[in-house]
Amino acid sequence: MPADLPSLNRLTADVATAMHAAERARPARWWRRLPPLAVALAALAVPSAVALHLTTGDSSGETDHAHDRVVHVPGVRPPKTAVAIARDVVHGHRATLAAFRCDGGKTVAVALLVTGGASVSRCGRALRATPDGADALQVSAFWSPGQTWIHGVAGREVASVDLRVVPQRGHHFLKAYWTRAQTRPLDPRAVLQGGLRPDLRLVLLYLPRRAVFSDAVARDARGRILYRCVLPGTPAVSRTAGSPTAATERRSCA
Amino acid sequence: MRLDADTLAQMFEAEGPRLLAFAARRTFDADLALDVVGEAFATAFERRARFRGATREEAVGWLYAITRTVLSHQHRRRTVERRALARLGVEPPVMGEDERRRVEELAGMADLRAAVARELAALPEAQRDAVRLRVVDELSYDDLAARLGITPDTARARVSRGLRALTRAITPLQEAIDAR
Repeated sequence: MPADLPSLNRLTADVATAMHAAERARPARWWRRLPPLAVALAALAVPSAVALHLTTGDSSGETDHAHDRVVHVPGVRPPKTAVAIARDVVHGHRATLAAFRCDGGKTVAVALLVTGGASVSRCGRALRATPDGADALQVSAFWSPGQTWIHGVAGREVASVDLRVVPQRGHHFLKAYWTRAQTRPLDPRAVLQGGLRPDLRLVLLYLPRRAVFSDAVARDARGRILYRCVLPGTPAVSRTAGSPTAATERRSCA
Repeated sequence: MRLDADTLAQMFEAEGPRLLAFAARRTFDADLALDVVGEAFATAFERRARFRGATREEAVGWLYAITRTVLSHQHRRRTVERRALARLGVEPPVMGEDERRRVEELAGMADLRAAVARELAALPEAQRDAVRLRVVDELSYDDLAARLGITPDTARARVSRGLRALTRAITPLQEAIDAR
């Protein structure tokens, strides 16, 4: 360093010190945060992505109380009891409905897991249902980019569910139409493994576009209407498609 | 070649005096040149990830390119914005009189000033007066126009032509001194 340029020397030394300090303090790169992020997401995704909470046991005639008893699962440790109650490949998309018991066995939580276009498993929230009374059918929608998954559970007498679907283009709703989803029983092995009620039936419908549904009609095996759910208002659609928490609308059939 | 803090610190130390002289030849002001160099150092550190060269010579060339960019901003705004230095938390030191003279000596300022005086004298009288009033006396174009009895647009044109002629004459000399 030239001795006759002390200001330049000092400037150079100050910059060097600041550069080293800045390098030491640089924020971690995004991929360094990935493992803890993945753990955090996994911890959140399984319980909080679950929107289908089934109350089990003798919950007849206690719809409101049954709702109160449903525990929304943060903190639940499902792996030992989680069982796949249905697996399907729909239009090339693998979908799994998984259930596990929580709340000391009084509650069953069900999650829809689909593989998104980016090979990321997304968890859709489902819903809960008591098997009897006005709350016998509950369905919900999960939006992935360009896809809509409608899923839920119904009582044992429900053979099919008619849904009034309202397609969307951007933020505009298009002409509605009715479509039918056949219900199906739970996988009996899962019922045994998970200690689940055997008389519930699953509803799963895939739409290859973004849509919402406004009405659901439960029919028995003969096609007779058992009950109808009219969902008030136009559902607000989140712009964050695919987000398991923001893009899911719970529909109750009360 | 990866430019980390160690590599850059070594490069700044080795190239600092030449870079300071380089900047002084373009600012005609040693203090301003020191600000330019400091800002160039800090900017180089901020942009180190964008450097795609493989050799030290390329890194030095890249550093000079950054210095030219800082100089061009300085010419446009008539001051050196010390944004990158401020982000790095460095305050440029104040230069002493001896050091200022040393910088002028390193930059070959005496030769440059003589060249500027020579080229200024060689300008047509109308341009010379306009340049002197604008650059030396720092008059606004309106005042300059009023002083010379011309329109502001004409004043701008005369100053612009005069400065372009001076730049054309001085640039080869600056480059010759850079190459020494």
